[in-house]
Amino acid sequence: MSTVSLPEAPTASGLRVQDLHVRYGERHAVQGVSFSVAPGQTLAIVGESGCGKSSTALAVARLLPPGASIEGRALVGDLDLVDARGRTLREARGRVVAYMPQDAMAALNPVQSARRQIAEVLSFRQGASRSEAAAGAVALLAEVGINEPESVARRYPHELSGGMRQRVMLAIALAARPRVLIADEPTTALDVTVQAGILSLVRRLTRADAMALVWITHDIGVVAEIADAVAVMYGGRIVEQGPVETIFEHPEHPYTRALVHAPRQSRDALPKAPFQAIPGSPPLGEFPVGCPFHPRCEHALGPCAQTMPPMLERGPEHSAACHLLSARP
Amino acid sequence: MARYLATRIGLGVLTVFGVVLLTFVLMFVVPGDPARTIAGPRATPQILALVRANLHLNQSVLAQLGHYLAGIVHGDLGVSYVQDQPVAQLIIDRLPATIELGLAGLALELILGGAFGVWDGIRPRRSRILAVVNVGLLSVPAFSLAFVLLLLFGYKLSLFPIDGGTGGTRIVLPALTLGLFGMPYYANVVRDAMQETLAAPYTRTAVAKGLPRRAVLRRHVLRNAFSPALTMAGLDFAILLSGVVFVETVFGWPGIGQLQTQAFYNVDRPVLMGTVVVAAVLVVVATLAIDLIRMAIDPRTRLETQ
Repeated sequence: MSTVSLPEAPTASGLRVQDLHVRYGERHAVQGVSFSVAPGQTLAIVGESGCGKSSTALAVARLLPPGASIEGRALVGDLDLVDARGRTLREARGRVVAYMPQDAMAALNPVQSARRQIAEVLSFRQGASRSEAAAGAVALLAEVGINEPESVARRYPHELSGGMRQRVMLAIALAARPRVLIADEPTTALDVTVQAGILSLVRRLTRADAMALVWITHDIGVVAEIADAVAVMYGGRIVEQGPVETIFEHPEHPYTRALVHAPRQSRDALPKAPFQAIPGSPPLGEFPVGCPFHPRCEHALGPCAQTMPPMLERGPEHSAACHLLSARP
Repeated sequence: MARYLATRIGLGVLTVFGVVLLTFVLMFVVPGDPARTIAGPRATPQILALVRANLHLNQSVLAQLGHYLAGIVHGDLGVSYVQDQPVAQLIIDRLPATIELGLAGLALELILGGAFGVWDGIRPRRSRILAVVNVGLLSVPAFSLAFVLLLLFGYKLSLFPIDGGTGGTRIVLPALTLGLFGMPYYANVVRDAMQETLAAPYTRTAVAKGLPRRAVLRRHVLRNAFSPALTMAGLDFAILLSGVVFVETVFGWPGIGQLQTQAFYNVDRPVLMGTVVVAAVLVVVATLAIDLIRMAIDPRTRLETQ
């Protein structure tokens, strides 16, 4: 695909996250999250602001700000990303796990051209020479669907459209051929047609390279378009997960049901408010005792306010955490 | 770009004209009779009248201003009342010394302030050393600083000659005075910019690429962190120049500042006016130069020129 001699495509190994916790000082933002994504598959993590989905993404990509602490495991093959330190961690960045952020404008260096920002991955990580790296950058831009890669390569971030900036970010993320791509709402700021183009592009490229893709979003409509499997997060925990059809057709958790049935016709008009139908607002800061959703749940029972319900098997690969499910098996 | 340059140069000319106008008015408000200074205390009224006529002092202020502006266009800044030499020549003789000292001072400010700011900025918490040095330097008036350096390094330790003039290591103490005086401001600006840049999402992107820490700092943090310092250097240049006037006097550095101080005491109006005009031109040129450097470094500022 490019003149750069890339190393052999890394062995497909997927991502397994086990009992992941993230704390910002006293605040326990992610409280024991577990999931796995097979190579070439896409897991969508969906939830409202403050549910811990971005913290989960940053933790797995090892990009949490200083002062945050992580516990648990995030395994890619034999490598535990949570444990990785120093040189091991640096080697893993970009090659084992790559990260695609929401705001590409802020995530690109404003004083460097697109070419330079992509090429440095090739020269530092693949040992490409100056001209190889420059040519490789243009090839990557073509690979992420940019029509005039030569001319776009010369431009600075402020000279690119929102969709092009996000494609440049994708080129940077894919430059070192990672095994896992964490995409943290990269299409939220884009309009719907551009968003659709990026969604299918990411999906196609990650499948072709047998990459495991974790797509973070608050938009249940995006989930339907991209995911193989879905994890629904609420209050720092996964409250339900399963294959995408199951989640849409037989949601078990009251929160997932509310999400899936929330009106989506108005998405174009109100892209940021897809959850209007759920009364109340998600917890910020302190999560309540017991099931985090119980203050907003219309079916809440006595135990809901006291203990966190365990994850219950509801079918193949499908599980949900709700006291109502154990009450009526 | 050509249009931008033309606009900037036009604005510069306007600025210099404004400065000339203002100083000219000031000259006539300030008490003192130049004819009396030149002719001496025992001159007869006839001699005084002759001197005034020679210097056009008997004409209206407006006519004198017109005369002066016409001179400037031809590079003629008049003749010194005291030294009997063309002002332009006096200034040209001394300009290199002032530019040398000014640039050395600016370089030291940027290097000392930048180094301190970077050193402090890459630390997670603000270091006490920077705070102490900053408070120390900010609370010492510039003239005390100059005399402390003069006394300590020049007189007590005899590390540098203090006989005045240029050449050799004579530039060290005056440049150091200017550099130390401006350093805290640059250190603070660079330090804050470092913290901001280190926390910026594009720095996170650089880390996510798996670049060595040194490459992250060099390629992504430093260049962005020095942009505000450069903007400040542009704003600061006029202040630096007034510092040069003072420092030249203390250290006997034969530059324009010294010339200006002497001219002030001698009510030597043409020399005083000439130094002010040249200072205004220097500020305009330096500000333009710094803006051009900023454009070379930060492509976003190039938008303004289109």
